[in-house]
Amino acid sequence: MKKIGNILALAVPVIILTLFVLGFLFEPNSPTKTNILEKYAPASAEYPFGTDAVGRCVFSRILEGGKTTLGIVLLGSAIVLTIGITFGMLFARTKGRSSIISDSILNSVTAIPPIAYLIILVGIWGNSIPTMVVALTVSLLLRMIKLVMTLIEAEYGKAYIRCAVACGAGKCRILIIHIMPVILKDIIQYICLSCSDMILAISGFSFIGLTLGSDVVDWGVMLSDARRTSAQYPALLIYPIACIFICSLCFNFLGHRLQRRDG
Amino acid sequence: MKRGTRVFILKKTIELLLTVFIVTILSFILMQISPVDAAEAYAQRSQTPNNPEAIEALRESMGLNAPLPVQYWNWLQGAVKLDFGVSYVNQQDVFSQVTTAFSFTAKVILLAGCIEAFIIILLGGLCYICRKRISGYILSALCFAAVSIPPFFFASTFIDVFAVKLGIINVVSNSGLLKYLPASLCFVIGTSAFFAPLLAANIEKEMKLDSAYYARCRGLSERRILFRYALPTALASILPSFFQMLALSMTGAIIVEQVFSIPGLGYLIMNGVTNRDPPVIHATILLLALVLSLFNIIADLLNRTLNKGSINTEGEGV
Repeated sequence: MKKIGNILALAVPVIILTLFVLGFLFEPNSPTKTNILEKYAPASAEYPFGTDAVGRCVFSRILEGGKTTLGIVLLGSAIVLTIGITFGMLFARTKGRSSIISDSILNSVTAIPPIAYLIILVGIWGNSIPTMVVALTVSLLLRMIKLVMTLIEAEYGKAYIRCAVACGAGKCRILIIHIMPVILKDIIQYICLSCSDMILAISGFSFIGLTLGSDVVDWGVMLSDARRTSAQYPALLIYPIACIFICSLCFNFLGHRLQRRDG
Repeated sequence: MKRGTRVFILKKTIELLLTVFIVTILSFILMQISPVDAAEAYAQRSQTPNNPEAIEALRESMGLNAPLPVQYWNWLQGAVKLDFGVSYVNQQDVFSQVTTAFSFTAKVILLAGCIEAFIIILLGGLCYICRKRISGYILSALCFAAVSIPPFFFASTFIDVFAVKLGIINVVSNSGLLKYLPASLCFVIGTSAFFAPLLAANIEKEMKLDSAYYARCRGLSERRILFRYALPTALASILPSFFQMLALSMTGAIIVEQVFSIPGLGYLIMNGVTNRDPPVIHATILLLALVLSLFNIIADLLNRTLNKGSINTEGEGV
């Protein structure tokens, strides 16, 4: 019974996130098509969430925004995972030696939180989807490499690795077959928690006006559009913020569930 | 021990300098390969005749034609003397602009930090006390949810409700610390919600230790054990990450400030970006890197001193 609960607790957020990512396939209307005659239409069969100030279908825009925001986050995470794990494994010291130079370089590069790198990159290049993907990748990658290295070094001291070495297992085999499954959970947990931060950051930037592009739909833009008429039409504000909240909550929840219990 | 301290200080200083060096180099390289040219943007703004020769002359006078290492070296020489040049937008000294903006951001963050510390202790204690009741579960679920709400949404809702609809506060004309209170409160919600359950979990762990068991054997009351032994230790263990969180709020402040129109670092960066103003951007990034790594070092330092303490009290390190 408890096992089913555990699986369910992981499956539900994953399913919700998948729905948000693939939702754009089911858009009832074009998310950018304006229809000034039907502005602020109430919810109906044609417009499930009604329409906004220039008559665009809010439901379609929500789905499109999900594709944009989650697409950036997931693409960035996928790149970070592949490169981070590869380089982390390559650089990991397995002999127990530590060098002050490489240590301090890595420490100083990771001294700045990922969000700050994001701000620097977005600050200089302006905001757009490619910039955001690059910024997200760069900002998380260094921490990822450091995390993988630390985890591998911690695992290397344990008894089961010594046994594996005694059995004649090569370095590659130990890293991929023995260590990877153990540390993968921690890595994915870190990625999940970062994704949650990144969703908040991406929508934050487009909310204050650093939009991803003139005709790109994302939840931050919808929020800042809706804010102008929030007194009369609060629903327009509620849909995007609920989506940001749900996605961020899902990632947080996944990260929380994957946390390794003591022992 | 003495030698260990010296090595620690040396290592941290090197790390600090390296961080600043790497980040500023990064900002120069990125600026160089940026799609928008600063000279062209300046020409458009100042109604300089928009012909190639005029822009080329402008580039020359801005020093943008020099190779990147030379540009960086020139900037570095100025930076050491705290001379960051003048802004291309309003011709004012960048250093004074950046320090003024920083003082605004710092006020917001410090105020938030003080309120957070208070609320975390209160809420964490509450979470611990009610941990086996329904109210405790609801409380921790609420905390969990509050972490997922973006601070800028709190900010805009705050303004829309209190300033626009009810007219209770006036965002523009308030003076003193009161002006920064709303912005600070937006961080307080998220950060407190993040740390309170952590504190509760730490207290619970402390209360299950052998030391707490012996204290109970000595006949000490549960309350005394909690306040005298468990709470201080639990607080000490979250203090380093609390400082790192403060540094993080600093970057988060950039978005929230924008909503409250506080002329802090966020305003400066945003203005620098929209106007393509390299001197301001470089100086702001330098300051950001400096402050963030300082906070990081404080966290490390705390971690070090507090860990030393716990090793002494427990007799043996794990």
